[in-house]
Amino acid sequence: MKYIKTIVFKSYQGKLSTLALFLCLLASVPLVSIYTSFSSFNSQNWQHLVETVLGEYVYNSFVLMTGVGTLSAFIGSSLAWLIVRYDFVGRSACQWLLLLPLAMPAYIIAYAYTGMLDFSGPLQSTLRESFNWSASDYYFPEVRSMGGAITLMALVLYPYVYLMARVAFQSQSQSLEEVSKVAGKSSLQHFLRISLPLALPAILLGAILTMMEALADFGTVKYFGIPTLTTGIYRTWFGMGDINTASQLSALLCTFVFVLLFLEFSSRKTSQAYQSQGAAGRSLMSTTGAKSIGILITCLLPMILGFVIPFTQLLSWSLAYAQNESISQFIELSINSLILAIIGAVSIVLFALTISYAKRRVPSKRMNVSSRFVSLGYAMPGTVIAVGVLSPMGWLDQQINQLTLAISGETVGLVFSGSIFILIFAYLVRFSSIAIQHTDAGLQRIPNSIDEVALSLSKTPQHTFFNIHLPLIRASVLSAILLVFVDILKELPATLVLRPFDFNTLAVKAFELASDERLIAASLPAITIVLVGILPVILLTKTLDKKDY
Amino acid sequence: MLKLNQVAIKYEDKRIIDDVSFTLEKGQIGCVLGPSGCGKTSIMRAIAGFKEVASGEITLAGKQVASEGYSTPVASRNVGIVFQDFALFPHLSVYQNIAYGVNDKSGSQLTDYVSNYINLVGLNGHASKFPHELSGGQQQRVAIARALAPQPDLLLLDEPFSSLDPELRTSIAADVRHIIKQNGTTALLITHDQQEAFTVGDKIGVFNNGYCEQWATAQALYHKPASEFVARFIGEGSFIKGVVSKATENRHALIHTALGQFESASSDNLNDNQVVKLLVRPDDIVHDDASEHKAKILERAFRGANIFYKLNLIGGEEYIYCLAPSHHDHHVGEAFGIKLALEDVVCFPV
Repeated sequence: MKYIKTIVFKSYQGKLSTLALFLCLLASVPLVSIYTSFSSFNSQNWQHLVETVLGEYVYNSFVLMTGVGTLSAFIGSSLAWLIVRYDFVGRSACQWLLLLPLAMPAYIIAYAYTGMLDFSGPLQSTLRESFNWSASDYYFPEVRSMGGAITLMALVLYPYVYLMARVAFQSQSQSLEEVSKVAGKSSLQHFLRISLPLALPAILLGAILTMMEALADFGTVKYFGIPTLTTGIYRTWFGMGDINTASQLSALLCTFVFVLLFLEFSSRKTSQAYQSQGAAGRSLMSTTGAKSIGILITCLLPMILGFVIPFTQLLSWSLAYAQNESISQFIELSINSLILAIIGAVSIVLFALTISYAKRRVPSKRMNVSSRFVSLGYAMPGTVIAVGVLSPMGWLDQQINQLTLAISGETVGLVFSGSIFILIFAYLVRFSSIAIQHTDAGLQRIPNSIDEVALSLSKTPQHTFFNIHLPLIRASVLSAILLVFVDILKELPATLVLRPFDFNTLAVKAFELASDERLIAASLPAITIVLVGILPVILLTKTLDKKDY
Repeated sequence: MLKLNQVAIKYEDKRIIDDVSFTLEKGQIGCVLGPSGCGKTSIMRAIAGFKEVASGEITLAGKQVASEGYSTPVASRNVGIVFQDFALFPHLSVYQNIAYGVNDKSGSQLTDYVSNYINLVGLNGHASKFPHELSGGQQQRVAIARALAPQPDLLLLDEPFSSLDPELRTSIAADVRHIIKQNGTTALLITHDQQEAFTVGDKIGVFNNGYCEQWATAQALYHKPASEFVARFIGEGSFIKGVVSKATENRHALIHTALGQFESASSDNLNDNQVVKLLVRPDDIVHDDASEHKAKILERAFRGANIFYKLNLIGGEEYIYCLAPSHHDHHVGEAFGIKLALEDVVCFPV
């Protein structure tokens, strides 16, 4: 009996790890395909690129990335410092209000502000009317510019830096500041020599995340007419029809990403070495009156600019639109998006659950490395992933058609690349990381001794999984599904490239309408995305509350 | 060097510390000892300058640094602090941590100066290491060196051994005392652990609920406790009932107990026929087969060199503790003869 149990157990373990490794392999196909594209190098197209726009692409991507990183680091760490150090009126509300810009995708805030601040928008029109100016009489900064893009992206991405910086500042033991006081140092000296350097790795980690988002952005730069690597990749594929050159451009973009990933890795190591062994937590300095209100306004300002103002604008546009036009098309669009997002989210979380569970039951270095590799997908821009899945899927479809042709004399068309399956695959590559993070965290909270006790009580691993593990990780699984759901809803570039014919999502529609200068029509899908995006912010706030900050 | 005079400290409206006075001479090591919540950390913070005093005065190196309504800023007090969590700067090396508070030197002068302190705490060769590369004991020594380098008038140590391995605490405490004495600094140690207090402190104050019950040497605290709290808190012991018979011209008051009668040290507050509690330490009980007093063993605990017995006096309900050399090996339930050999007669009203 024991012998049979061992066999069953071992084969179960074997099956599980094989399945998981196979899934990991599948998810790494796009990246591999991108780099192998160098084998069929089209020197003519590439030469043309180098001579004309490649320099511009690389330069703009780089400036955008570093600009967003620096500005969001500045905003995020200043806010974190204020929140951790001072007690002021409205502080507890601020702590979650600050996070709201996370709900606003960059391309949507870009439309909103362009609509408001553009030449023909309400602000400039009012200025011209009141002062009787004509176009050349005054200077008004151009929203659709690199500066505009950097500012707007920083306004919605600073929460990433804020969250990490806050943890870092919060964990600095109060004794550190007291040591500085006793040593005769001023507050400023302490901040510059101790607090800031100690928090720097965490701030850098947050900034790297914003830089990855900036690098991956497509909607904003396309809308603003800024040529970057992402728009270049899109143009090479759709404009020149050259998938190979597009792959090679993607590989170049990926290299940028790998540099960022390497920086992230070393920052994380330093950040861990800086873990204060002391008691975390500190008392707040109370402030009153003007100082208190001043701090409140400073803290709310980025969030007002990054969420309240664009949201209000979108809201007024959508209401105007809804009153005058029929929204039946919009509803159909929403249902499409929702179904896609739900199917995608559930599949991805199932994938993540398999990986996490395999890591737990059959721990091996191979398993850890594979899942780590899969998790890199979050860093890959959507355009890159789109290009990366097109080639293999296209190849697969060709083989299938050849097969069916040989068997029944008919072709079946594009089975994979023309269906939402390819979309889900792309989403899997990009979003499995966030899902795995949550399923990992959920499973890790269950000590291994529970698995062992269950075994000793003669329960099969399957029984344990369904009756013990699953109920215990229910919260993690649900939050993973929610987060992936929202991410899929917001996703633009990959969806734009890979969607089946005549299939639209909210994000795609908003992009198309805005590109056609139909901003009011675009506002309805846009605001829906933002409203749905508030849900993860609420979830995040609840998680932070539990951690007793 | 340090003088506290009727110091009271309040948090909101609650008196955490009330009417505390003690003096620490230059070069002495004092100790604030007491259970958790007795307010000892508040005293430290008041001396350092992080907390103001509600009344009373604190004088440091001849200057008054705190009184009701006045408080010298922390940076001007010239004290050094070693925190419970050491609070080393994780991103600075051992050398940089120690040099942090030294504001008046630079260049090679600074290097030599800091090296002296690295040497003082026995961390030669570790100057360029970072805190996470050091053991707990080494980190503590860096914290001490960092606090001593600016040459403070007073060194404050807040529960400095509580985050170290229990087995190492006594030896590390002895090392720390040696370092402080070698440097000649006046120091005040805050702790709840008696062994640490005994090892490190020249003078120890036993605190309870905001009051200083007694400020004396370890020896005096153990053998001549001033209050019942001190008697119970310090060391081990039990109380047996005694009845007082009044003092006469040629002797002090006598206390009659089940184990004999004993002459009290002074009869100031003892009345005739008063019932008192007499303190009996485990080492006051001597094994004596010839004695008329017999005791039965209730519990025993082997402690290596000694066995710790809990004894019940035959013919009574009281129990006492006895620390006997471990070759007097008796079992629970056995009885043997005992004699109470009291050196110091300590009693308190019931």
